[in-house]
Amino acid sequence: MGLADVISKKMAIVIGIRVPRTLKELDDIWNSLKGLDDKFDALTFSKITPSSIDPLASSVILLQRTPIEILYQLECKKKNKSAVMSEVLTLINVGIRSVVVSTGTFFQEEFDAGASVVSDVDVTELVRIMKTLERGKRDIFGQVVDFDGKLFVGLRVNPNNENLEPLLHSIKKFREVGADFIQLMPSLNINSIKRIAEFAKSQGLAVFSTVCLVPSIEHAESLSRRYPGFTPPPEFLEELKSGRADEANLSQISAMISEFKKIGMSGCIIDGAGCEDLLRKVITEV
Amino acid sequence: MKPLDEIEKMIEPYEKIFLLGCNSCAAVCRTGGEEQIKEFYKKFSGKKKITGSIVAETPCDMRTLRADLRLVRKAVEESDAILVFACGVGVQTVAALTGKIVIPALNTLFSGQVERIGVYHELCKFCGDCMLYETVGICPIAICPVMSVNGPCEYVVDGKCTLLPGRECVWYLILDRAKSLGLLDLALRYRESRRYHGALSLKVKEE
Repeated sequence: MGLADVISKKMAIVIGIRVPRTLKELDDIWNSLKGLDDKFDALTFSKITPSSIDPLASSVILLQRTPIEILYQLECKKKNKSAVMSEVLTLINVGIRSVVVSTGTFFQEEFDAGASVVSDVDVTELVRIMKTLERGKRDIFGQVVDFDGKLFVGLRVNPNNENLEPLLHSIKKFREVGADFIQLMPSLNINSIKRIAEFAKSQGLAVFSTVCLVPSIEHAESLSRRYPGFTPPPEFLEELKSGRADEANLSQISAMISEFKKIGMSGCIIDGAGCEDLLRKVITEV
Repeated sequence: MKPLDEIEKMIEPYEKIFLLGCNSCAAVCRTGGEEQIKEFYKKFSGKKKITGSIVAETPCDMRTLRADLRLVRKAVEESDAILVFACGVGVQTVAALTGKIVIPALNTLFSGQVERIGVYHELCKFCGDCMLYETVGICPIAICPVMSVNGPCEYVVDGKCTLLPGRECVWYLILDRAKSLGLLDLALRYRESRRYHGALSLKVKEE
């Protein structure tokens, strides 16, 4: 069942694992999650190192092994229009239908080294390209695309902002270009999450929230680079220091998920990229 | 300015050097004006034979450069190479007009707004498709690190860009200014990314 169908019945659970660097690593991660496939509805790959196997290749390999629903993270960065179009065509041809479009992951050292940022399309335009393809059966070069399915496309929004007005304007624009949902990035600012979620829902968009697992202080630091503005609360960090990472994560994730249910989220992404052992424990318990 | 050792390495094979500065942008930036040429002359006159020097009015302009080069024709002809203290356009214009080996003394970064000497801001990428009316005089292509043309990206925290720490998100600035000018609807329009003129479509403007 696709994510779009799942959310019509319940709050979907999506788990996030890291994009592997080797096929063996992919096997190891997948084997560690065996037997838990009834605990989640979809899987998403997150890039946590500058070099890894291509996320699309990882998704295809996994799909060949098991009929799993993939929420694919499609990045705009470092691709010109032709490369973006190829990726979109590959996605639909291998059967991936759920896509969250993002600017892309920036690794500080890579960015500082002056790696050039190719930005032929921004996130809004990329959603429009995908939705135009879905409706018009043509790619951006005007070539006919043999595709009859429905795409479930969303974009990321960062709730770690006091002034939400510019973000709400963007959300409206996302809807206008055909987006189906937004993915809220991890945040402890419940008021901000609520306000954005309410506005997005009023525009007809589904809302997915994100929580991330934090097994160590170092992991917390790397998360703040992947998810700008996200910092675990000091009492949580204290628990990590005193070796109670499992308990701290379980109680934090449980609390957030019950909050999300109250808000009426369509889905929750539990990002365990880089700490898949902890992810296994959490999804077993939660 | 390029590091001195890099310049030294490039001029090493040549005995006789001619120095050519720029009295326009490079002079304003204090990288290619009279003072810098004199300084370089002092540093290298013992090591190399400097056949002559000139601070050309605008080395990027073929018309004025041609006239300036006439004044120093003999010294240029005598030289093995010309060390050019101008932007990449100037260096190429000197190469085209003299047929000589040219050595750039500067690393051209961008064409920018001058706040004060030493502080310059890159505000235009010369994309050839200006949207500054819609974005109320602030260019997201030049200023936003991800070149978002439709609104803030997910790297904004409390209105600040986290990819360029210390900078305000350009879209927060645009929407704020648009609101105060009563042009919010214009700024919020959907727009496609700019089609850059790449290496395969070099820009030539002819009447």
